[in-house]
Amino acid sequence: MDSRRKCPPPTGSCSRRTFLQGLGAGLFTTGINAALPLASWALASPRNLHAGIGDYRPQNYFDLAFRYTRLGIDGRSGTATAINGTVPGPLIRWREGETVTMDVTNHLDDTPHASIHWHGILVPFRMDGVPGVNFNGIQPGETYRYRFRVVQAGTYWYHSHSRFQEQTGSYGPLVIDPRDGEPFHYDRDHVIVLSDWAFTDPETLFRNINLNPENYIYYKRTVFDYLQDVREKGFADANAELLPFRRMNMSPRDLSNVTGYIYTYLMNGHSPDMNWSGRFLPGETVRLRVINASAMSNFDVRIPGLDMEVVMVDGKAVKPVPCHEFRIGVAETYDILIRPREARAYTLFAESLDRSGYARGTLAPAPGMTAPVPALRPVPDRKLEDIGMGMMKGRYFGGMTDTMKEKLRRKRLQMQDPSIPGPNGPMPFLPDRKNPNVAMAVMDPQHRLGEPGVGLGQDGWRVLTYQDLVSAEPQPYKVAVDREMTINITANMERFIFSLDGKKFTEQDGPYLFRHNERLRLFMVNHTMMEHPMHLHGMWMQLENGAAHEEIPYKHTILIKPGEVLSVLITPIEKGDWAFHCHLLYHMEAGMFQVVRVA
Amino acid sequence: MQTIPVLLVHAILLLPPVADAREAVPADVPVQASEDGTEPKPEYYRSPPLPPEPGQQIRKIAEDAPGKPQENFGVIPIHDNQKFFRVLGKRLEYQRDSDTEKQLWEIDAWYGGDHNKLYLESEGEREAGGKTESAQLEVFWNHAIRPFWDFQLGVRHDFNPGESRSFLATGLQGMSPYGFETDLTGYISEDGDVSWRLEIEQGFHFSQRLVLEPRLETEFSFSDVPTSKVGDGFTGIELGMRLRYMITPKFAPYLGVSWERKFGETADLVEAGGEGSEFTFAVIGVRFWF
Repeated sequence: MDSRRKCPPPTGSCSRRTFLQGLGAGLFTTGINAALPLASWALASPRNLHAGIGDYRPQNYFDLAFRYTRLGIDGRSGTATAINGTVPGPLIRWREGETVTMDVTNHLDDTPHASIHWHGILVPFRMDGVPGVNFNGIQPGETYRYRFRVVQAGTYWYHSHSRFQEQTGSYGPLVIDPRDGEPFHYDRDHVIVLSDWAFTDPETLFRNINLNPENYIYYKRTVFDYLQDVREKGFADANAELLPFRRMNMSPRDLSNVTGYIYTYLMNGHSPDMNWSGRFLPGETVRLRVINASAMSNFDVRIPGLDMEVVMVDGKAVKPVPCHEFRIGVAETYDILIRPREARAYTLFAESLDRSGYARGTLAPAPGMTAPVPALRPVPDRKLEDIGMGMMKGRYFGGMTDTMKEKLRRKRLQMQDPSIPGPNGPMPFLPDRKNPNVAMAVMDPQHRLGEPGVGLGQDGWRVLTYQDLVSAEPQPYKVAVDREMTINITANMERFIFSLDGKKFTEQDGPYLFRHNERLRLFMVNHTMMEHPMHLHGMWMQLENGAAHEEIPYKHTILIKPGEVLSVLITPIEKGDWAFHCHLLYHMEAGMFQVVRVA
Repeated sequence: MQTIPVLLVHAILLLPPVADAREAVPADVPVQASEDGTEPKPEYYRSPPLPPEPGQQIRKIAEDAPGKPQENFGVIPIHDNQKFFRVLGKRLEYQRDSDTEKQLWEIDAWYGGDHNKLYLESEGEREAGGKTESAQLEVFWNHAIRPFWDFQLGVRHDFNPGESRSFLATGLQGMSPYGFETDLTGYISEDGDVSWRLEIEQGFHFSQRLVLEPRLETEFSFSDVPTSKVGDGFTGIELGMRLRYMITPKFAPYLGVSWERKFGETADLVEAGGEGSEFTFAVIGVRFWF
């Protein structure tokens, strides 16, 4: 049965290789996991190019099982909570409009529960897969049946929502074929799942960053960096930029909590040395379905020597945007088209945001070809403006002056920056200065969807920004907004407390209330030093990025920059409780999580 | 062209048909949740409340949570109140100057969550191969009161070779602006003597693993306690400079110097006892945590 389901159909070009892939997939489910820890949709090497996922047909039934599996990467061995014995898990492919059934069994005998969340998929409330919100999880030995009608198409992914299983390999790609044909033409498509793997037990990892948030940071600023700044900018300017950070007990290099020091970055389960390789033929249009399934790593993706065209974001078609590089936050998906003309190899390069490592693969027309791997760029420093603290520049002592307070008050009265949509702007956040959960409140949040983000945009090539996204799918909603709401994203990294509106999840008074079918404008203000990929379950967020109202892009996950304010329009279409959280796994588990109740 | 039927036969024999995969949904899995929500609900399930009445003010928070909505279905989704323990060996070192050699320890250990901790501090010295000169243990309740500061309340006990003493202790522990690790504690002894102690540390990175750490410790007493060789006023100051190399974040050996000086009446009392009131030590030691 199992091998039958995994095997590509006998139609089209069913080669011996694809047959062997099917056979391999069958072996996984019969227990020979250690021998072949990679799924057939992912398994490839420079000598054995992957032909793409065109042979994988949509199915209506999937049987998925969590099991502990030995995983070998670069000669080291670790234990994964693999789905069907592979990391990443099997490729799930549905067809829009059909009713699909997934039986998920938890064979992890020592866990409280396992679960699968269909990331970005509109489902009934009990099918969303968050233990404690939508159901009680899948206890060891039990099977949970997910069953719902698929009402969308595009590239998505699925992952466990139980504790740290996502870190240990419980994730996989999810592709939905549209009922009415793809909105653009392509000849071949590859799935590119980016992820981060640690051989350290995630419980240990979480404890280490809780007790010492800089435990894995090996790009701290040194005295010599400071002296170099003094030499380049002069004493006064170097201090004006750096000392306000130090005064707030922050670092301009708070870029991430877990780095390449402990992580091996994976592309389709392959380390950079294993070099996942996919085939293209010169002249073809190749669609890459890039999925960031990392626990903690945002990536900057580029293919040196090739132009890219972003055609789909978070599963929803956008008007094609040409670019050379894009930043993919954790849990986002980007579909890009490339049109390689030359018969040479290209490196698919995904550099982590903090420049501490990279995931890498190759696209080549023939086996055995590789292309040079670019060097990592230097670690960027955040500027005061980057965190919405521009007015702090040059201030070392004392609080705000009266002039600054007055300026701020007047600014709030003026309803903020005209580029922030809506009549009111976000509710100003005035935190209790005593609240240990909030280390910083941004005085002057910025509208910055047009900025590519820290460390990008200085290389002379074009980097995608959120402002470039224009939806190519019509949206049925009216212009008028019924209600506005502000959510503040807050943290105290020194204590490793991550919170929303200054409260950890367990400190919240109750779930956020959304009204069924209302048109809600939700402001999000990031009062922290880091990018946070904020994910809302069960409904779309339509990002007000300056595009015409009927063309604002749909998102399920939004990477919000430090000191940024942005707004999304939401129509809650399904009643029930839904999770809203930061998709950085350890931030979520440290409290940056809330339930949204649609009633 | 004969190969085509042969291949077809092979294909049929080798490749199981997938066309029937769509009908392959097993029927024996119990349905726990269905699309229309009509299935029987488990006991612990709390259904979402009714929508607000028309015209009723919509709140940001649905404050309807007597049983905590965070624990729907009997499961807590997020464990943001996890308790940890930590042992931090700040200084475990060997000090020497031309006449004296001694060993010194300063170790903290705590257990607790983000806002409240049980916090133990121990500090002491002994002459190399000789007797323990001083040893003290403090036990605190640490409570987070500001983003970077904990309030401390507890007791201290000195296991001095001569006379043991106990104190009530209260203070502030945390990080000041510009990253100074600060520990300010006030004490009242069982005899009513009042004193306070201040410790400040700062770290400067010279490389990712090489850290220079200046350290200041000073103590002030409001009364004379001759039995403990403590006089009125500032009793002494200790300035240290340690250069440590982090082999791992959890294990960092260091080298350094430490300069100590007693002041005023305390210096007189100490000198009367035949000891010096000013020392400069070379130190070697290790900082660790686990």
